Amino acid sequence: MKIIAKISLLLLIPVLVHAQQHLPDSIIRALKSASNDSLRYRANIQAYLYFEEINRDSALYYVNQTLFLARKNDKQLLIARALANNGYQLTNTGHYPEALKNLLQAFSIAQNPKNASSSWLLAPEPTPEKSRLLILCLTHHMFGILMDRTQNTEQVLFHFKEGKRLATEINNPQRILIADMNIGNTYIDLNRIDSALIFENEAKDIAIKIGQKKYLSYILTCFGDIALKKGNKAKAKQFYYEGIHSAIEQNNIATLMRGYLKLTSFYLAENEKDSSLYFATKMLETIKILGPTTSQQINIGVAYENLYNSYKLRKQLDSAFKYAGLALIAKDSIFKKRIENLAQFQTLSFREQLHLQDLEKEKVVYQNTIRTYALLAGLGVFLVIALILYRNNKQKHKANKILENTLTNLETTQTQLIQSEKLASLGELTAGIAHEIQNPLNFVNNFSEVSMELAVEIKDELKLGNIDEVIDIVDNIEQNLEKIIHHGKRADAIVKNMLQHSRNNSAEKTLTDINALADEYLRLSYHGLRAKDKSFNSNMSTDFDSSVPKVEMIGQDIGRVLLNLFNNAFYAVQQRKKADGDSYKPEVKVSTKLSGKFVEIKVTDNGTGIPDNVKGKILQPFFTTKPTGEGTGLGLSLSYDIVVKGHGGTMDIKSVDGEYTEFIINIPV
Amino acid sequence: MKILVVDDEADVQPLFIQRFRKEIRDHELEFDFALSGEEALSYLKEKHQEVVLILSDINMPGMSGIELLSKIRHDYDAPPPVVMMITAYGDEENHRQAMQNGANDFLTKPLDFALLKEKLKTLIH
Repeated sequence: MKIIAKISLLLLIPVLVHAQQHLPDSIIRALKSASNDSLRYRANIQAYLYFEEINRDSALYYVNQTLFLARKNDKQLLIARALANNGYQLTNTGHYPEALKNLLQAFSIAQNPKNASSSWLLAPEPTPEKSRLLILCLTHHMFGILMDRTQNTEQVLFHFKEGKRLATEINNPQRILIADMNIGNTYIDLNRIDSALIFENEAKDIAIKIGQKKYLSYILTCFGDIALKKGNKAKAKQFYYEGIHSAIEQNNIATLMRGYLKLTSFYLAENEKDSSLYFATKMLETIKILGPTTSQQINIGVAYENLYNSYKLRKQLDSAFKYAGLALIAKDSIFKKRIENLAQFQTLSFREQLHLQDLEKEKVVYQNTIRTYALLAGLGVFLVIALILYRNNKQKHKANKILENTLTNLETTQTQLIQSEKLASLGELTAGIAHEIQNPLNFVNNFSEVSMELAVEIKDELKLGNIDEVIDIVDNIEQNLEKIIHHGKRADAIVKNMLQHSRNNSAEKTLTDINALADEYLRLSYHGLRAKDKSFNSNMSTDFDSSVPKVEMIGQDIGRVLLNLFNNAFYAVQQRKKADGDSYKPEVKVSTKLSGKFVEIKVTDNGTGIPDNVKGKILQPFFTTKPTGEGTGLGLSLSYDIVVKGHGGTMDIKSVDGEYTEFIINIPV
Repeated sequence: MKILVVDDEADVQPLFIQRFRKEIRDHELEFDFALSGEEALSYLKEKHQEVVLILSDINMPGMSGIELLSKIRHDYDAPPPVVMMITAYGDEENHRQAMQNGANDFLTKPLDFALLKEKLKTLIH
């Protein structure tokens, strides 16, 4: 088996050497023919991936090309990817501080969701967000490796597992397998063999299932390590060989070198002088192909040391001495460099930690500040709202107060208007009243004077002894005194009525003779208008139903209603008279009738009538067709209120424009 | 001399009769009464020849005194009766209208019967 392995490996080595030196033609063509940065980037990333585990310098070169192109075009996500890959290469070449810088930068870009779309390529992930998570996953992976190389063992697993979590989230089997593989390897280092086996098995299964075998050699080498740790040397050796086969097949120099190292160590432990020398030599060859490799376990110093041990085993002391010297120098240099790098790294990572701590502190402070601001803002908003509410409230109060005032004003105004309407109708009445009082007063005066004259005559006749004549005169005086009393009472009634009419407070309802009331106000209205306009005249007729009983009502209110209706009626006939001239006979009629439980009062005029477009408005307050200053527009509105609201009656209007108007009032008995 | 008094106030009648008691008794004056312009016109249709003087109130329901005056002036011109207008509203407008329509005189209420008697005396003689 040893021989077969040797032969097969020896046969394969030239192919390998050939493969590692040249890029495949397809990539070379792609690099040459790329007409834009997007294509250039694509070709360069392919070139990087080709050299990723074959040659560190070439890999660094191409990854820097991708970084350059990504930066040039401001493709943030691709910058992060390049930085992560660069970090990986720098880790492998021992440039830990730079690797750390690159990876931290990659993190800061990949962690920002805003950068998700800042990319040319969606593949292999279908959405920008998944692409971002992929890069983040990649960065965690690379960071885990850096932590491993810098012996920050406590952080290694965290980053690999974070990588796996993200890979699972975006359902990327390739990244899952790489995570599994690294987690498994970490468990080997931690001597948790069973855990390591589970992860490596999963990694292997996925690798075979999806045909992704680039790192299968690494997995196989891990299986070898596990077997060795379990004491199964044969199985370990078999895995190492399978690993080497796979590495050669996949052209993975890094894992091949690793495989050679594993076998060298294995054979040295077994004191197999030929095989150990063979693989030690192979390891040195591959490490030279790969380029600078400075991990603690794998570096050129280790290669020299293995050769020294191999020659020592073979007792070829010259060669052994030579490699011992080389190993010493290399190790010393690597050690120094490593110490230097680690020191820098530690400083940097310490700074980074401090920085992170600061950041954390800042974050806390920031969060606190934000919280404070949020709280303040909230308070501010609350205050503003409170203020607005307060203001609204205040304004509402103000508005309410204004409204209240306005209402009070309105009520006052309304009262005043009603009062002025009363006064207006009183004014209309005054002339009529004056006339009505003047007449009885004239009679009182005249009959008194006549009676005095008659008294003188009585004396004369008595002297003459004309008793019959005296009796006749005394009869006259008696009649005159009756007239005086009658007219005195008439004037008295008119004055009382007038006082009642102008009185403010609503009077009690009293039993009222509607017929007398209607007659009285008809006359008052007529004479009032006559007093105002001497040319005015109209026929009046009354048709009173003597069966109408006295009705409980506020006399002066119904009187005012009637006065209004009469005034309107007289106004209407007067207007028509002006238009139609002498051929027109103005006539105003008032009639009463007992119909059921109502007394109907009908006021009819043959005046101008009410135009149809006005009929709906005549009961509205302040509506008037009279010229400004002549009517308050409250007459009918108040009348309606008095009849309907004050007395539970009804008021209907019939009118034909240009022919007549009839108001019908019904007051419950 | 026959005088027609037109007034819607019925009490005007006893007042005139008493005021002119002596004149009536002595048959110097004779009074007839109408309660409206319309009544006055129908009275005049029959007796316009007898009536020498017409005393009319202006403010009456229905036909006003001014209307009555213009009708009288229109219908009865041979001989034209003397027409005196009486009104409670002794204002210029009524006076002007009365004169314009051919009133012979214009009196205001309350009637000054002494003055009226003087006027009647000058009219008779």
